[in-house]
Amino acid sequence: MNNNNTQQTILEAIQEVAPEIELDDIDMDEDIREECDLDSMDFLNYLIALKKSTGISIAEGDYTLVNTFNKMLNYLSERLSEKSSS
Amino acid sequence: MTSTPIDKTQTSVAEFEDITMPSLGADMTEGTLTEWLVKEGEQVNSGDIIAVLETQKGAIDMEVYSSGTIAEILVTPVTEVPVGTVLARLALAEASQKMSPQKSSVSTPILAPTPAVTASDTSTELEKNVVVSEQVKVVDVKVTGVKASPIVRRLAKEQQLNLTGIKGSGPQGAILLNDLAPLLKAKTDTKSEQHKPADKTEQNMRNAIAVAMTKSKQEIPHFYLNLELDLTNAQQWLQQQNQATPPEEHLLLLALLLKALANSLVKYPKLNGFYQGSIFEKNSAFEQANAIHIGNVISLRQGGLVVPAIHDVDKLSVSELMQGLRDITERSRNGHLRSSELMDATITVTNMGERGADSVFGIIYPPQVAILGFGKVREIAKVVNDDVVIAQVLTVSLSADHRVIDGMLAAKFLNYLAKKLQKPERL
Repeated sequence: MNNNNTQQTILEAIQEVAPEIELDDIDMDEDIREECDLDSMDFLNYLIALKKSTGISIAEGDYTLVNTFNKMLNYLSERLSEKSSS
Repeated sequence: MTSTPIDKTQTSVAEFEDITMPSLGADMTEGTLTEWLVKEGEQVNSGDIIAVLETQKGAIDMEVYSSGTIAEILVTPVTEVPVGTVLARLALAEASQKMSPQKSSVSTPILAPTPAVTASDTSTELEKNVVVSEQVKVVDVKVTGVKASPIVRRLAKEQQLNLTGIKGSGPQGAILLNDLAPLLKAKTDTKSEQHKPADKTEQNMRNAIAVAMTKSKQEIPHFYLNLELDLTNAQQWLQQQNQATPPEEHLLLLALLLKALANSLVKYPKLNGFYQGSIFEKNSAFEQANAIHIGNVISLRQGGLVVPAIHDVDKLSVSELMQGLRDITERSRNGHLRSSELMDATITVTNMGERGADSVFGIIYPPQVAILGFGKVREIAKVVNDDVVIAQVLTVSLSADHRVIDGMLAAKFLNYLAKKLQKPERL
């Protein structure tokens, strides 16, 4: 999965809980919950959607590593490349 | 609602019951019957899903609350009708046990405003455009690639509407019936510019909320209490639980709060039930509910709110309750809430979440007698054994009906709730 695909995957997961959000609406380096108006239940469902599409499970201990769009992109890219090389 | 047979000697007389467009919230004035899932003559059991409705709150699965045989179908899809309109008649099975969610409020919803003023205009107008015979020849119009609800797809095909370019307000931008209103309007009618059905729907919703909430405030002598809950233990416990678990097993604070609430209601059942009638009627009385169904206020992203209940919360584990919360949230966004879930709550909770206000005092949703509001969690400096420590607290507010509950009882209840939350592992 290249960076563009991962970006699309993240966007789709966001849109499952916030259908009206487009990529242009999101500042990539700001808190994703603020950007997309996600409450804690929405955020959880966003992570569950990502797990479904990527197989990667994000525990609460890692939340600070995924709290912006760009951080999520890096996090997933790293985990996905670990996965494919192992 | 039921007609009792007059001639007692005639044993074969069936009792009939009207199946009506339900009121699925204080703000609902009308709903669209989009599909029958049963036919005349078909047997149904209490709790079966018999029709699909499209409402301001999305697609709802409509259940039947008695067992029997569908005697007569009076409204054909697709038709928008005011709340309370008889959709079909049910011949009751002989020993039928009614499990109506809120007794009288089912057939004559206390909160439904007189539909004549606000709803009639829109409904006749929409009916003109929307009533479609089931036998209409389906013309193939390209609707693929566009996200739309089933009813919209069908209308688009039947009326050859072009859906591309319409901004949908449903899940994933799906086009809902409401979004189609301007198009239907443009297609059939160009003369009356001042009517805009979409705005009208919003206006109807505001009017209905105004009627219902004013009535509640006029009839129910509300009183209010709040208490600061120390959640330091609960938050620590949650953090431990969630540290390494996958997201689908993740617990949110709300699950703990609802579980503690349910346990408190077992001890203080007077807050859990219905006050039927008004003080000016002879037969008004409080009736304790025999189950704990907690209604949760969920804000819809497209505006408005929906209050689905989680059933038998006292009997669920915290993780089952969490699944239930995720489930109703998801179905609130994507459809398939069941009508009973929107009608049978025995108490309501409004939760501000972590980005909300410090406290919220709700208006009681009759015939319930209490509503709880949870504010956001905040950190404070607290004096414990002559030491100042950092504590995480949340303010819970209780609006209670003074016809049923006294201040002391309400205070005891809140303190019991606070105590329960000190030992989250035991919930």
